[in-house]
Amino acid sequence: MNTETADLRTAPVSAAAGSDTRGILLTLMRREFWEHTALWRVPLIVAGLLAISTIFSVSIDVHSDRVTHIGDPERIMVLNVTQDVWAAVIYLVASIVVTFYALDALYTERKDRSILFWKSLPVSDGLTVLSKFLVAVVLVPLGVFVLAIASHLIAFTIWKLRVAGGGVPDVINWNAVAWLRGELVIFLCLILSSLWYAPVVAAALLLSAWVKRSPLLWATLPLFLVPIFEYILFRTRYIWNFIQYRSGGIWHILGTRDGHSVMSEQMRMLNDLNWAGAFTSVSLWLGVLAAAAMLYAAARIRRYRDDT
Amino acid sequence: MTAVIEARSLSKSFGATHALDQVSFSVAAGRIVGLIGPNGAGKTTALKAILGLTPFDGELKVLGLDPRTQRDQLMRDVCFMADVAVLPRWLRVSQALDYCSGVHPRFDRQRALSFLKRTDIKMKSRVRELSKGMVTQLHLALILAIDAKVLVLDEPTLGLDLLYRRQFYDTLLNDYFDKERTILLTTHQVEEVENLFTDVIFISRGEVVLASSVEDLGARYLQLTVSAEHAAPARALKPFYEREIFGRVALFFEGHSAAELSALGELRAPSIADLFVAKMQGTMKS
Repeated sequence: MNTETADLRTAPVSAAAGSDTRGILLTLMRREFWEHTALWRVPLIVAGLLAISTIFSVSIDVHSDRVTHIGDPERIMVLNVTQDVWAAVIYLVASIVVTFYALDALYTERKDRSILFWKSLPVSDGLTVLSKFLVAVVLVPLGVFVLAIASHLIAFTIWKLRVAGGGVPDVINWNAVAWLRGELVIFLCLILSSLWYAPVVAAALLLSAWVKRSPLLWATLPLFLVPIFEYILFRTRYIWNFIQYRSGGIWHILGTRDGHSVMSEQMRMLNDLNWAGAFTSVSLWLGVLAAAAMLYAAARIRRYRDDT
Repeated sequence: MTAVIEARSLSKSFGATHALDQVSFSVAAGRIVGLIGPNGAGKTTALKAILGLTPFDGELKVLGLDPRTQRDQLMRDVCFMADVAVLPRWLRVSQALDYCSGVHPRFDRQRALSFLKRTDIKMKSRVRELSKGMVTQLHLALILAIDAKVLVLDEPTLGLDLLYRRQFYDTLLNDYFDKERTILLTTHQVEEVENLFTDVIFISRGEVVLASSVEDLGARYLQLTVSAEHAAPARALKPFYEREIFGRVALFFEGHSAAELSALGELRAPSIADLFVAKMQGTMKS
């Protein structure tokens, strides 16, 4: 009897504490989009421009010649390729915005002293840093995914309307299975990309929590100066190779199966790409560990950082 | 009664300078405490230690919690306002309310709204569009809406005109303060708020010079005003500070009875501002 009442009392409390943390995290992430409006505005504008551009675009092949007639399998391939292009362009732009965002996220609050306001509320430094990290590696990529789908579908519809009007050749065809497979590839690539670049985002956040001024300079200059010094002093290129590997290494793993490139067989990407190799890559998960360590360091620095 | 803030041998150095040197004091619940000291005396460092914003040596308990290790828990019951400039300029008034209700379990949105209704602040406005006085009103609205046990204010009215300052403290006293709550306040404009305090702590060069309730001050300190030519017998009683005003001399005594002094001239309890100056000058000399 006694234990029962005790259970009834404690259970809702701990449940409320859990939902509290979730609620706080959601509010913290909303806050990021209030302050850094470029996080949603820029991808939205690019997605809009891509969709609208279909009104004026023409169909060309790889040799820049006008395409007038192609077969059905090629039309579905065009559907898949344009899906990829749409997602890639929006993602590329978003990742530039995210880089600036991460370098700014823990720096501006110190510069404008608003950190004293944020710290006057019961939010831990760990949760604050985590919210900024999640915005960069989860929410923005998710937004890119949704925007790319919407923009691509609008573009597809515009093109089909132009085809119906007789203005342009019918070079693209709808195929639900192919479309879903294409989106699945994009979605998996986004996850892979977030995991692979997590240490880059975490390093940018760490710099923004750490440096006295110009985090952008701190982030870019060493990338070039350190490899140059290494080469001058030791005639080696380890650091430069590492930077290159961290920039694109995962895509090499994904695109290589049994030592052969699979990129030529575009049509069956989902089956051919080396997902198992990419997702079990040791350097991928070492990077995630490094990201966790850097986020921890950023939170520690923010705990007692006092520039005011 | 247990103390809300209990500091023992609080120390903090920046290189060779001691911002706080073995400082001990305690603050009871339901008091309004003025932390008063000249620039660089260590006031802000003490407040930052209390708020867990800076590491320190010594022992410090706020609401029974250690600000170094239990800050996240502590901040549910402690609220602070550094000065008017810290609300981010991009923040909209509505976003400020959304944010506070999102992260603070004891934020009462209605309370903030009803205070904001008495001002000219619009929900759509950004902080950068508000005047300095309005930013303070907004910050005050947020603080009033938080059901905190301890409120720490560090120069909250710096750079505001008299009307805003007066309104700020009136609101604080009438709409916020009660016997359960404790307010710790630093300000340079001591004259304006001295009627507010129930307790004062004078701090100078990292040390507590005086810590007392305002009632006890009246019993301990007396200000005797005499004309300059009659000052000698009063001086014989060893005032710790004196100052000349229009040919008359104000002498400040500690630990003398009123009966002893009243025959010599005009006697009264010194104002906190005068006492502060007297104490500071007195310490500087010694």
